[in-house]
Amino acid sequence: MFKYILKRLAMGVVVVFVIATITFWLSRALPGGPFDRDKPLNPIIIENLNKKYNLDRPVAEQYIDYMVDVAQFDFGPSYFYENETVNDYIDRCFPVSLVLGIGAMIVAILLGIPAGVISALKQNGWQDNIIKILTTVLVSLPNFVIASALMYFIGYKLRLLPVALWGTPQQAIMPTLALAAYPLSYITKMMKSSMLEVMNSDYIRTAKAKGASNFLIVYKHALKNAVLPVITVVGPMFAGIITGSLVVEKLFAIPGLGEQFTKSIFNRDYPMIMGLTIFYSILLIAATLIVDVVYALVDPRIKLGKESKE
Amino acid sequence: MDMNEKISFKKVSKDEKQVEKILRPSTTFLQDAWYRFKRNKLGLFGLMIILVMLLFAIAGPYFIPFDYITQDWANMYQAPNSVHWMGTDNLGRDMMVRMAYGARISLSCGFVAAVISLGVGVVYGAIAGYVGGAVDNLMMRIVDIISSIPSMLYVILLIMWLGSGLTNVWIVIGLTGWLGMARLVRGEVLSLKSREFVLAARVSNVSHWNIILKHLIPNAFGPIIVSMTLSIPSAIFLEASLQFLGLGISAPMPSWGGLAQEGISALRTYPYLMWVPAIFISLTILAFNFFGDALRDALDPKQN
Repeated sequence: MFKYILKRLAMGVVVVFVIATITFWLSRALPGGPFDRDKPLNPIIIENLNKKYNLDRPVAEQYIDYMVDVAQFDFGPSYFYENETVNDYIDRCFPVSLVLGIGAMIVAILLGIPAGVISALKQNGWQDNIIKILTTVLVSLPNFVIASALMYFIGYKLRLLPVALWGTPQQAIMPTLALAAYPLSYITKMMKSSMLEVMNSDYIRTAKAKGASNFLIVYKHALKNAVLPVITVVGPMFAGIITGSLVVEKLFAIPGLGEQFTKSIFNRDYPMIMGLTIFYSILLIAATLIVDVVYALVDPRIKLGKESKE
Repeated sequence: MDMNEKISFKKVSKDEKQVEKILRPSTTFLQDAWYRFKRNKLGLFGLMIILVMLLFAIAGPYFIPFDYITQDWANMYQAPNSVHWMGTDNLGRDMMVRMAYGARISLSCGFVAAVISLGVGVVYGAIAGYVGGAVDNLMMRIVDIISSIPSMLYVILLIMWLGSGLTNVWIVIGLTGWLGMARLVRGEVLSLKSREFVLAARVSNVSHWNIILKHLIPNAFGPIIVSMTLSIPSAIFLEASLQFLGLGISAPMPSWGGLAQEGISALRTYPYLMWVPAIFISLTILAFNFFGDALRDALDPKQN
């Protein structure tokens, strides 16, 4: 187990290294300098700026510097906002995105698990059909469509909730729902297939044969085991939420990391784009690793590190 | 003796010979699949929408008496009416013809993604699965690394590097779509390659390349087609989101994501500018998802 975690950590470091390398060289290959503005700056100013950010030194040296900094979780200064570093932005914006993301995950789990269970228990019944169609529809709606539909009907027409900004719980409801749609359908599908498998297993048949009530079978015997595999969806779900937050935070003007990312695309703030890409990758790799370890801890049937022999 | 013969060896009449004849013509795999597919109403609905969208994209610009670029400042922000069926935008351009050009872009992105996932993904996965060992390990680690970052992030980086334009959007979207296909084909090949028919082919001196192309890949036909179909909606989704963030095809060429983004800024006052592209994007993705699911049920009946 310990060896496995070490191996995975090493692998994660390699992946982050590769991603950092690629983003560094990509950003150096991008057309236009970092200080190109609508009104061209004085060449002397550009020279000074280059000196300030060490851009006058050989690229190989810059690369080594950048990698050393990234290894210490230092993503360097922003080229667009003076006197601010990428780390300042992560410190400020990440908590907002985290609250939003966790909220969306909780909504997805609370709705998705019961929906999946119902869908499995009433397989091919009308409840199952409705849930199947709903999940396909939710997967098919891009989150900006869901978000703007919520904005239009709940925000403008019914005037129930504020349509933008961040701070009060009311402002969090619509973005959370918009972000939860995709993971919700994902969890529902996963929960359904896992529940179906458990309901067909021998120990459930034994419980039925002994005359246990349906309620007891579902809640006491099946549910606990069927929920376990759902833990594994947290990884892909996490990726979906990160991608979704780019769009949703932009729409609702939420001062989170996703909105910052889209802003830096617009501003061509390369260190910010690079830093956030690496930061997101670290988050994702860490999340997947934690999920795998937790899964192995709660489900003793899973033996870590042996999956390659399958 | 004579009597016995009469009893046991009766001359068979022509009518009785007909009984043994197989009346139902034998059906091929595809006929079988089509028969199963036809019974799936959602799948048929999906197929119909896809065909309508294709027709709209191909023929639309020839039949709509406007073009996507001419601004008509006397007719700005017209709600859908008998002249402009889907209304006009902030510069008085007809929305319907802009939607048709957007359909060309979105659908072309979908098909490019499908073709690349078929070309690159199938070959990559088949080689990894067939060769196995260290090569397989290395090839799959590469896939793992690429898929460990959300595709949206490196798509953004790549498009900034390559610059905007339809070809670049195709390239970038194509680069993301083949990963799932490679994993799927590798798995299929891995389980198929130890079967007897592969051994028989080896014994008869069929080259490795021919085994992959003529024996292994055709046996994984069903899952490959399904996965290819389902890569189309995610490509359309990705393209729309990319446009929505302001990257991709540059104005005045319209795309669905770009039109939706323009529509959202006027959501309060001219909501149809948002609804028209939103409905088209959602309906198309939904249609491909329904179609893909139906295709899975039809091509892979063992699943149920």
